[in-house]
Amino acid sequence: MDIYYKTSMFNRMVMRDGRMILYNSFGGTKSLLEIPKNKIEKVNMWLNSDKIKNVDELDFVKLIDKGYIVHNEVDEKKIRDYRTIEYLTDNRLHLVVHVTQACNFRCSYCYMDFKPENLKPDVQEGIINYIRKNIQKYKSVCIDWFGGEPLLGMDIIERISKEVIRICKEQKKPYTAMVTTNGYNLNPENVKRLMSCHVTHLAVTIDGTQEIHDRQRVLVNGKPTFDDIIKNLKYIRDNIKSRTLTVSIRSNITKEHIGNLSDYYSFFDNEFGMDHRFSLFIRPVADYGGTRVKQMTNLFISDMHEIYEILVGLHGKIKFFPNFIDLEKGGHTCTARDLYKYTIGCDGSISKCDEDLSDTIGHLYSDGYMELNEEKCVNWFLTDNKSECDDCFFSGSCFMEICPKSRILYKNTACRIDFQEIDSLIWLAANTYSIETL
Amino acid sequence: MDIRNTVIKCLSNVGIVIECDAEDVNINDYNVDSITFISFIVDIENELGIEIPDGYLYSDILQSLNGFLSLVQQLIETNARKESREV
Repeated sequence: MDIYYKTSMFNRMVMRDGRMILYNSFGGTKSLLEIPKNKIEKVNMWLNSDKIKNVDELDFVKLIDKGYIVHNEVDEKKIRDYRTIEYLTDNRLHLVVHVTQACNFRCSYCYMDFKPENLKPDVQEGIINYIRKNIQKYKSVCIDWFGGEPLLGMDIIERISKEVIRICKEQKKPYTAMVTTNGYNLNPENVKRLMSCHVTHLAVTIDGTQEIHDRQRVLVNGKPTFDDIIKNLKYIRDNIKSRTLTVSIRSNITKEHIGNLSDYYSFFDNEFGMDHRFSLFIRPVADYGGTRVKQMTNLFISDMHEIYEILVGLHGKIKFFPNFIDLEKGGHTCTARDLYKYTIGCDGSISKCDEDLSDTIGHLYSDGYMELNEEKCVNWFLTDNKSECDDCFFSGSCFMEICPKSRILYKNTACRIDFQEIDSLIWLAANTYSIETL
Repeated sequence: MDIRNTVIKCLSNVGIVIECDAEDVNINDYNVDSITFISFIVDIENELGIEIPDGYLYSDILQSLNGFLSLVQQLIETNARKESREV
């Protein structure tokens, strides 16, 4: 009996300079495959056919293995829907904890209002008690220490961490933590304290080269911060031997950065390229609210396509690995959709969005009781079915919605994806990883 | 120092229960995801005072418990030699 196949609906083909790169949004970066020139015509014929009879060739089998070709009977949309539910309901408890609303910086685009408010003692108790009483429900626990500037509340981090580590060890559940920080207080003592709290990842923001960073990210008194942050990162590079502590350097960029991306890259590649724990992560400055950022809207980058094209030409050791999460299965949808992800405000309010705490879905009490409004919770988890998304190749990565906040708070359901930008990101990934050739 | 029992204890701390007298085991058969893996490595490094090098920070190193124990033994011996040179 003849077996028939078809091309996957999640495929994308990027042609540049005579090279063909294949990507599949279900397979993510592991699916990336280069098609050599002498096979392009054959692969094009297969991937552009409605129905393909089984071909007894190793290349055809390879394309099946990588997910580019699937059995004709397979309903990929149903598989996508199943995997979406499986991904978003993965029972790992992920808490984003606002340690404090205070911050020692006044960044030009920040949305925070910097109330001098720390995570209340009864909320700290609530986090510990919630984990203690509910840990059996989860397969692991991860805490993301956030703020404000979380390193202004090191005592709070240590206090909660000590208890959570003990509970997780007793109950035999893995525990990890990360910190999102401006890096100014990431001094040697605090690094050691964080490592004792099982922090394995530091997300540090440095907005480009010194000149631009010290315009955008200054202390409360207006003084520059670049040198101190770099000094702290160099300490980690030179003195922290554990390879489990990784550092992503996030740069929030505007049009001002475009002209000196090469200098920016060279600087970080020279300083940190030899240490694989360090990576770069570029994001455009965006309006997350507040008044400060309104002064900069003329500098916003509307899409990252041009940026990624420039980055392709920068050949060094340090890589933009965090940017490639956008290409992974589920990587392009916000973590706010994860069923078991909760953002805890200083007052115990629970929300789903890390940046916007205004749309609360519940409250955490000191005894560990998490009161949730189930109707609101489901709004963040489910999405409206949109026909243009159902047939889209990228729905394996975005799961048909990038930002639930846009839909819930602003009633905006339009697709925000720029496919030219995605193609550029695919191209950058293909030139970063050692990808297979067919 | 009983390295085998320490490693088995650290595995147990992240929910992977292996019998102490088990012959070689593929730890990855226990559904080790990235959080479990990193949590285990952090625990091992703290318990034994070693650092697992970059090239070994993949879950492949857990394909063989005995293989992992050999790696850990080597790292402990390397540390001991470094310390005796410094003294």
